Amino acid sequence: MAGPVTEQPQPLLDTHVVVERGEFLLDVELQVAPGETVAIMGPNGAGKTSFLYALFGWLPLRSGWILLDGVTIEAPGQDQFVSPHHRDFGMVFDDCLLFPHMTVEQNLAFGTNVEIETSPLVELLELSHLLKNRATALSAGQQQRVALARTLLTSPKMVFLDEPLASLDPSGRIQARHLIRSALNDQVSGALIVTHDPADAFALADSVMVLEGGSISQFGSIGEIGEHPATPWIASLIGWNFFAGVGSGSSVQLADGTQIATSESGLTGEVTIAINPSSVALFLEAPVGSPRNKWFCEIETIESVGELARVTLSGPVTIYADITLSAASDLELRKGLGLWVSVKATEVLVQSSNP
Amino acid sequence: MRAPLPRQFRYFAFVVVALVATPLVALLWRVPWSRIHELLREQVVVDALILSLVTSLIAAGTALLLGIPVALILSRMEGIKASITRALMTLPMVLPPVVGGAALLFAFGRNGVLGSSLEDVTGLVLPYSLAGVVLANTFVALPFVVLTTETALRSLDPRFELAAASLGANQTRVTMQVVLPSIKGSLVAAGVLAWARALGEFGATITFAGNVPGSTQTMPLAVFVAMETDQDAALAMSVVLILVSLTVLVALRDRWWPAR
Amino acid sequence: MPIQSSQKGAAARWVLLAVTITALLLSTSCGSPKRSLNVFVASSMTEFAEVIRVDFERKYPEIDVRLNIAGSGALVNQIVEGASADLVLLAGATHMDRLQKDGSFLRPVTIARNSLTVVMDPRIASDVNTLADLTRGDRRAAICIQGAPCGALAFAFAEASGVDLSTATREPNVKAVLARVSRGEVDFGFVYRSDAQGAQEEVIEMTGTGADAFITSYSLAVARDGQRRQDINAFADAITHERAWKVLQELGFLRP
Repeated sequence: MAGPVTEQPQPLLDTHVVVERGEFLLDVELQVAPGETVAIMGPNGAGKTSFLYALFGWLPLRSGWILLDGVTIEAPGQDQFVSPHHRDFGMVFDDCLLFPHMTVEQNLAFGTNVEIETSPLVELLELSHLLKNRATALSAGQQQRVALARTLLTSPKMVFLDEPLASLDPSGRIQARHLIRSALNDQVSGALIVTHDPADAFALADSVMVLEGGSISQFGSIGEIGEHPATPWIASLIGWNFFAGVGSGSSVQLADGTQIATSESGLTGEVTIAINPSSVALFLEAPVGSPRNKWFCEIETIESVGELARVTLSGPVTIYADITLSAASDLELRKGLGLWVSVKATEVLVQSSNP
Repeated sequence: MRAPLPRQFRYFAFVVVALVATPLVALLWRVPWSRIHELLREQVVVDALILSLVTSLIAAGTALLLGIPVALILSRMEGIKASITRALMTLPMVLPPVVGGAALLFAFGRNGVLGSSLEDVTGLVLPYSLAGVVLANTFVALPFVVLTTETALRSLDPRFELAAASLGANQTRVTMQVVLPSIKGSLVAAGVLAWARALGEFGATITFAGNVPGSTQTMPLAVFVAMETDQDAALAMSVVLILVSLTVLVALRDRWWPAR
Repeated sequence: MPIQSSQKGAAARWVLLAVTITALLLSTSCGSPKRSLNVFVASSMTEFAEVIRVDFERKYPEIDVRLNIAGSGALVNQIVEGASADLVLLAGATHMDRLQKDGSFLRPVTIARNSLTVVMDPRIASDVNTLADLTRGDRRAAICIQGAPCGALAFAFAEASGVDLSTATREPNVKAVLARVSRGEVDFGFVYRSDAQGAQEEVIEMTGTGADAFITSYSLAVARDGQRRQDINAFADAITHERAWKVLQELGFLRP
């Protein structure tokens, strides 16, 4: 597939990583423009974490190169190798790896000389009141924020996030995404985010690199990939509902005039929204109560995907819903049936085109 | 909660514990408690007690200083090289201490391979000196440090080192500020085990360092000598050794072997 | 079912093997006509006891002589704590007195005497003419622990002749002292004449020290055991026989 669009002549990161681990061969070529965030997705064992480790110098390159800001960091052919701790990268691990024998403050100060108590980043990530706590005594969400702050405080040119939200519960994730997004915007000029969750990729990244079996199977924006999946894995995992529209306050107006309510506020200009098919609820009768997004639609197709049924509905919006097979049979779903479709405002993810 | 064990196991365990406790109780039974103060004030006893404390503490410290770097390297080695190195470092633990003492004698004794050149160059004679006692004690205590530390290092998530490196720390800083503090509990346990082993050391000491009152006659040696001359003094010193060891082990709770 | 039957066969073979081994063990431990004698020997008498044992077993092949060799003090401790001894050969009077208090041994007889002597590492022999030369510089000595007869004797001699032994290493028995000197780990040591004589090739005996005035005697005590009286007496006779004296003389011991 096509490489990333590079608007500037010199990319922030320019790399071709070739790593061999036994039978497994990782071969990835990637350019990241300044200010760009790339999500790395793919099934387990696809080489996502290995790619980050290789960039850091923890896995030796068999061939290829790594250039950061035009400077060669590693190039086996030219006998170039900058030690990992001298590379201007930062890394946030999936399980945070806060040093258990240190307080939060000591963890934060480990890689920097910055005054921790007065750091705006510490304020932004809401850590000021936790500084004297033991790092291991925090909740998962707090640990995640400390790990992020610890890395960002070292002011790396580029930061890698390995499954940054994996340990959080769903409600924590939404808040964490916001914090990560604003922290990344403020602090670094480029980021790579390994994730399993399309919502992360949608909320945090400009483009998505899908790795399968050690090589890139698709590269593009989350919208492009969701609409034109190149492989079955992509189709099954990133098959979300995407809509383009214009934001106004907390709602988004689609091209045909349909209003979709979100939990955001102050939206303006062109935005893209994403809805997980699993968050789309189906009712035989008009739902009462809170949901503000409800439409009456008609079933076009029903396909079973594993233990789920993917229902395609058309009406004011064309939308996919994933429901369990048992629920599908309870509702006696069939082609042509009219149904109420509802989506909670909090389940609508928004990405503005010009942040 | 654990599944309950058959009742017979408890009886069996009780018998085993009783078997271990009986000789100790029998020894305490024989102790001349009324004279114990005066016995422990004898010059020979005081000298031996001080010497034992000093040499065992120095030996434990030396064993930590020597053992931790070896454990760090060993924890990163794999295959036959690692097995051979580990076996070599463990040998003094399973070897009869007398054999260890004899081996030290042939290496560091006056006519030993290294000992004779050491004497020529520095004039230092290790046997019959406090340094000799420390060397013998360190030799037998070192395996406890190496094994305990290596076990702890191997159970430490190696990604902590990656995280520290990603924050810009070089290998020295990673080791000193992240790796070693993370296994602090095990290092304390290693030091205490080494100290306890050094405190009780007899065979290697008497063989290598001899039995000179005031300079190499440690508590166990003094007990051995007193068993043939003044059995009451021997018992009094044994009580001190038992009390000190027991106190330390109880104070350590379950930390004398890495729990995790 | 072939599998089961082969398992049965294997089990049967194991039972047969176990029975055979048990039978063999029983036949050696109970069926043997050999009787045994436990003889406790002070370590300075090691060579002597070994010669007597070999002679004795040649004469009485049905008796198995077991020698237990250690310092005299250690031997008496073992007996007081319950070790079973048929004959005890000790150096010095103190330990024999302790043994007598135990009450299970008959009155002892003195069989030989031994005098103290000083042995040196050959490397220092040319520099040493008098006792004072011995302690010059940082020469190192080995000596028996005070609880052992050789140690009691040596300390008495050192006190009388003004030799400073504060830095000497205290060894559990006289053989350990001799080994330290003959291996060159110490410069000189206090041993019995008999020991010095047996190690002429490794150590040099110092003459004219006056140590030969310090003498210990060896005595033999036998157990009051009625049943094995005959065997015990036979071995005691072997020790006190004129031929045994020849052996003692050759080894450097003195007449009682």
